[in-house]
Amino acid sequence: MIAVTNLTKRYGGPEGLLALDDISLSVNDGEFVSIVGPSGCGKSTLLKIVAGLLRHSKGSIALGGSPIREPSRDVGVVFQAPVLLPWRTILENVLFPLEIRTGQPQKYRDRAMDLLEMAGLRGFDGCYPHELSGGMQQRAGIVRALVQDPKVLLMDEPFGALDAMTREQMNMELLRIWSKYKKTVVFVTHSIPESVLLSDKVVVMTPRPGRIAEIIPIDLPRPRDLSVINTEAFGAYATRIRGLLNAKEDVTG
Amino acid sequence: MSSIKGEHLDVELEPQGSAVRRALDLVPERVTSFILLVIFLAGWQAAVVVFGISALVLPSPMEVLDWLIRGFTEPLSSSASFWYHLGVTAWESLVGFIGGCAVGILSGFALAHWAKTGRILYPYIQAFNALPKIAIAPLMIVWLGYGLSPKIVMSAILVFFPMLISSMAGYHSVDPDRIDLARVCGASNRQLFWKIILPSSMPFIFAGLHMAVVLAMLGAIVGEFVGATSGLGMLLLQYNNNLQVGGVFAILVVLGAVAFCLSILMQYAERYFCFWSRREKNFGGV
Repeated sequence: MIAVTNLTKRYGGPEGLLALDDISLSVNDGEFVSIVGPSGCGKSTLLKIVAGLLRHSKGSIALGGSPIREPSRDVGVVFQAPVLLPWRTILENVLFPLEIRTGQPQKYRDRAMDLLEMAGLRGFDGCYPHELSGGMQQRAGIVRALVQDPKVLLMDEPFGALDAMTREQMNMELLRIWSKYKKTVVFVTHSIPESVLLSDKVVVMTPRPGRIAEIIPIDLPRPRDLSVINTEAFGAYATRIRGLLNAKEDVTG
Repeated sequence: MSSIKGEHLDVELEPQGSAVRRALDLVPERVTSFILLVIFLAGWQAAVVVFGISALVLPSPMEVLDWLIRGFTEPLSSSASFWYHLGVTAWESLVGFIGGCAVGILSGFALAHWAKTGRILYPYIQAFNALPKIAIAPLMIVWLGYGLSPKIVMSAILVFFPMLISSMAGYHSVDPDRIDLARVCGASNRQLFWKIILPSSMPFIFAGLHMAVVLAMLGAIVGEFVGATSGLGMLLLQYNNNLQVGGVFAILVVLGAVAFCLSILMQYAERYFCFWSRREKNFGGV
């Protein structure tokens, strides 16, 4: 679905900051891939390049076989903050991408209402964002990314601002949504347990410059629930990822 | 009226601290504000009568009221009709306000969008803004004559700057995530402006509008001061020259009342258009 080959991103001129150095990565159709790493490892930059918001410097990146040059309808993005527009109701916010792309959001009203119901936001469609809790706002943000029925869902630390309990709950909901709609998901996080819990594959990145340390397939049975966190296999994956991240830290400092 | 006020005065003067305070707490704040006004006017009236102050220096509230009634009951065709002069001043202010806002907001967004041009021009804008703009009013008379246009232009110039600066600030305040969101959805520059940048800037634009609504009237009045054949500013100056101080006060009351109503109106407009912003940021100032 997504093929990244020898991708390099340098900000500014040829002497500028090297954010991504020789990244190669492939994401299969329907796969859930997490990118984990400390801040400054370029994971958000990589996501922005996939989203078509940033141009890369060298290498190639393709979505479904064609190079990514601009934002595509096949890609939905969930941001770190919910980024709901406060002057729009939840329904109007959710329909925003279709309003921009088609100019006729009312045609997709039923689909939006179904998705809101699926996300547990039934009855909140007429509310304004400030009337919802942080977790509910982020769920609305996910519904907005799903409303145009994209093939790929890009998520940039979407639950980073939520409290631990809401976060676990959201993780479970995300897995439910993912298994229901069969989207390809690229999920950026700095939480090791979160990445293991959710993914088929964890991409471990190290900073300055952003490089891939290792890509670890997560072979845990699905469907998963929170009890998987207490298993030995889960612990082994988490330890291995933490080891990879710490190794780099030791070298640099 | 005065007997009601007297009763309240008696209550307040009673030295039973807590009981009085409790009684005061029961009275809505707006009522207390109004009572203060009545007390102030009564004190003023009493001072004028007791100390025998000449009406040339300080007219009594009753005399000002008399001027107001006369001013508003004169036939419209009369040169002493407050309605007529108020209409002229209101028209100048309104046209100046709309013109100044339109040009100010458009230039503000343009200068913020084309950042390089903005940086080149900004020192001159700052310099012109620092200039006491009222000082150019006499020049307007030379250029545009004694009609309505110099007042409208003065009003528009005064309105222009706060609108320019607030819309620039609004543009720069837009959360970059909102812009990314629109870009991801494939928004054109036009959609980005109308659906993200303009609404996001509204709290800042309203901060400018609150200032602009006051400045619009100021510009019109100053324009009338330097040379006019009609308008409240002209009438005020004329009464002042004739030592009809009661008339001067009456016009000040009219100007104050109009400005007060406009600022209330602006508050309601802000609440309607920016109902969402007071939860995000504490804006609006009132």
